[in-house]
Amino acid sequence: MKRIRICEEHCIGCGLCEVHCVVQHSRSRNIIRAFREERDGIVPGVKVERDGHLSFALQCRHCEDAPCIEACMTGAMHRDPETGAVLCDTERCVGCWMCIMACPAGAVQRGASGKVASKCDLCIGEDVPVCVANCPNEALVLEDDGDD
Amino acid sequence: MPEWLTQAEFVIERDPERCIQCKVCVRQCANEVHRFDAELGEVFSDSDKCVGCHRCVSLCPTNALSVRQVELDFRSNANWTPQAIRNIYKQAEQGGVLLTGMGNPEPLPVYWDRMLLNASQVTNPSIDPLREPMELLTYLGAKPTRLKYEGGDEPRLETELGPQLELQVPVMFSTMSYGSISYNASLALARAASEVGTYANTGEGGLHAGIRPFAKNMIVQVASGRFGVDADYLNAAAAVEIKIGQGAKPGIGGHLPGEKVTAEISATRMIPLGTDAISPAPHHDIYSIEDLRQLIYAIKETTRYRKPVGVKIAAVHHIAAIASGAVRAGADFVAIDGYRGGTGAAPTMIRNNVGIPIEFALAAVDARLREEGIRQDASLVVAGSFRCAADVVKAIALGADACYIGTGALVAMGCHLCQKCYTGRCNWGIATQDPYLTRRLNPNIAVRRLVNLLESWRHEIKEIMGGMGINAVESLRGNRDHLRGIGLTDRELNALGIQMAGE
Amino acid sequence: MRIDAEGLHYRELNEQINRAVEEGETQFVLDHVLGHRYIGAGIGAGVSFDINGIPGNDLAAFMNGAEITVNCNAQDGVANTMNAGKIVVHGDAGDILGHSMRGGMILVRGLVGYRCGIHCKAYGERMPIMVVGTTAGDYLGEYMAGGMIVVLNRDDEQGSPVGRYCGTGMHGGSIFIRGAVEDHQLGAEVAVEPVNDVAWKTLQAVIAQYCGAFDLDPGRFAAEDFVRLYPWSSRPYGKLYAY
Repeated sequence: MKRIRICEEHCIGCGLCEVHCVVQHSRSRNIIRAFREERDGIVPGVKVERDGHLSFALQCRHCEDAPCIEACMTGAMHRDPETGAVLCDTERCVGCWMCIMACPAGAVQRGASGKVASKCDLCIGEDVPVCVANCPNEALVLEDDGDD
Repeated sequence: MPEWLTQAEFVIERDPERCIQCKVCVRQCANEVHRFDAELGEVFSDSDKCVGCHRCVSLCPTNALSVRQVELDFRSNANWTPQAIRNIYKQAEQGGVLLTGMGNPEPLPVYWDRMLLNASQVTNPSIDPLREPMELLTYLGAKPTRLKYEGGDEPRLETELGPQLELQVPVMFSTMSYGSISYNASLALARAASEVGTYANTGEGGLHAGIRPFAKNMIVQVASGRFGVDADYLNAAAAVEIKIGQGAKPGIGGHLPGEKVTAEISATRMIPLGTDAISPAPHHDIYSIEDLRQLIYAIKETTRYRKPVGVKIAAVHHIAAIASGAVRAGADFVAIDGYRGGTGAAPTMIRNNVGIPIEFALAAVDARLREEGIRQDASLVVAGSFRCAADVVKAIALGADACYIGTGALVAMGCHLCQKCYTGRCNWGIATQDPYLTRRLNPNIAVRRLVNLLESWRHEIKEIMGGMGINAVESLRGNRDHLRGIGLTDRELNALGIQMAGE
Repeated sequence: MRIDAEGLHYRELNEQINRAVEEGETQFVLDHVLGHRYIGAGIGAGVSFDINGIPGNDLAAFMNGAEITVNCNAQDGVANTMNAGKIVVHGDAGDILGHSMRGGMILVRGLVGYRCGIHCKAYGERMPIMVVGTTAGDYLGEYMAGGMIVVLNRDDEQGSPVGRYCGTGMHGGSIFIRGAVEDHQLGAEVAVEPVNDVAWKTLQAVIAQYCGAFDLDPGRFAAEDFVRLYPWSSRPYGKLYAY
């Protein structure tokens, strides 16, 4: 399956990955409208971690053995059979936050509404996740690990 | 006390319709021009500190930013230009020598732009490089005056050939020392040279351990400071270049300020952390041409005559005599750096006023060496500045064996020629050692860009040559008949050894 | 291996030496040396040379650990950019001894010319040491970035054993001078102090090496006779520029 590899030595901490994640998950898909009108309603699936001059962009690792799927009490967290990505079915999510606690990467957040979980969905429908496509320094790289 | 005499050189324009307050510009400007006001929820820009590097403009996801030079600052004055006035303000406030970076930007004539190339028509058919072989392979090193063969049915070459550098394209990466540029930039140049089949020059920074794997595509430099120079360094590389001068600052030495001497640089240059790295003006063992010959042979002995040993000189008055002396002193190649050559730091007065154009220097040196019958004893490499493939072709036509590109390579890696290299705050991660900034130059991307540049030029050179009806770079070399001058005086045409357009 | 250098060009002499070194030869005696240049260039540790005659310029240039004894005077450029090794000169030496030297030791019985030790540097365990037996010329230790230079004035000459512009541009290392040094002889970057106990220990050890090589009594040299020259700053040119 396609996976995003983090090359932290090349991350410049600019935050463009977060910007484009917001746009991708907006209704308008237009950067100016997304930020003007929809920004508060979207939590980006990728987050830039910074410490001094070190930085890297972290998103859900779509683990083979996902602790969040184990922890989810409603079955909202599930694996998409086609892409292998771990997705959250917001219709089923009841906001118990067990997934947030279980995730070893801290990649799950509370959604903007405060009611359901939110995380990276590997940009379903796109060939290349937008964080990868828009990183100016190739600090996020898309790789196929061969498992389908 | 604030410097109230000095003024901003650039103005930042932020389109409020397009700015989405994403703060990418805030994070990316090393000069702290942009800042986010949390209370107002808005990004503000302090144009005063802007150096015009365009980092924020390039990364802004909505193209909301633009930078323009401050105009109409002073009553228009062709003599007291805004720059001249600002220079005095700066010196009056701070005292000290004015520093700057990159090559001479003054509006003096660029002679490459006053030379035109030929194309063949009718009687001499042009050649199509896409379908026919075109030879750009170039060898740098001393060539024998004649070749002796042992007779017989299968003649064997008897003459011993001296050591040569083999270039797949007649362009090399010029001297940019690790210290003036970041490690990532140095590594990218070495890797790209290795991939394309040409050479990069270490400059006076020594040979970093990480670059050693590419040493057979490196020319190492022995400069007046002798930093990092030992027998291993000399023997690891493909060739050794003795630096006598540099086009951007002929006649003076170099100075890497102590704050730029990080742990890595300290180890590569073999000097203590935080000490100034001072390169004296002359090599103190070279006070005459005979002394130069002595050092050339000291290096040849140390490298057991297995590598070409060359000399780099700045283009100054009497360059032909100096170059002739260097060739007779035993140099296998002579690199001449014209007054437009770049630098990480040089006193502004020297950079802008000392030295002569490479076009004239090259023409004079090539002609003189031919006159004296010693043109084959050393290859001529020229630098300062080659901005495109056409400049390279013109240089070869004037007599060069190969061209060094410095600024061109940096621009390919992202440089925007803001000329603030000496501050160590290069936003593109090139002319800096700040770990926050050096991350910005991903060597993989930089290598790709450099290789793209050289490959595009390689193809363009082939196209131009094919258009001239020649299929080997030897047929172009020194063939001044392929050049015509335009907008040049008789004297200039004479000095370049070319005819006027129409003749 | 004994080589008669008479009539040989330096290139032939050095080729013979290098070939022998490659084949494993470690000890050389060179006779009738007269102006042959670059002897010892780039040669590493484990090899030694006994030179009878006057070697030419750039003796031991870029040398990397070998040992050389010169049984006569030496010329200019001895140990030019030398990285490691030991040289003992039973005579005088010329100008720019130890130019850009980075490590190793040179012991000169007599005097040296000008610009001795210019731009020598120390790094890590590498520490270049030069000992001059009698006097040194102008610009001693110019641009010195590290290392140790000692001028012994062993013949107790009147006046100063060093010339003018001593230590000009110095930004590292130490110069020990036995005898008088006036302020006007010093570069602007140089400070002077008497030799303290710590410095004397190092200096004594070096003097002992010199005395061992030339059969002298180390007891002749006392700490009070010396001064130590050192740089005011490792960044003497920090305030030159307008940014």
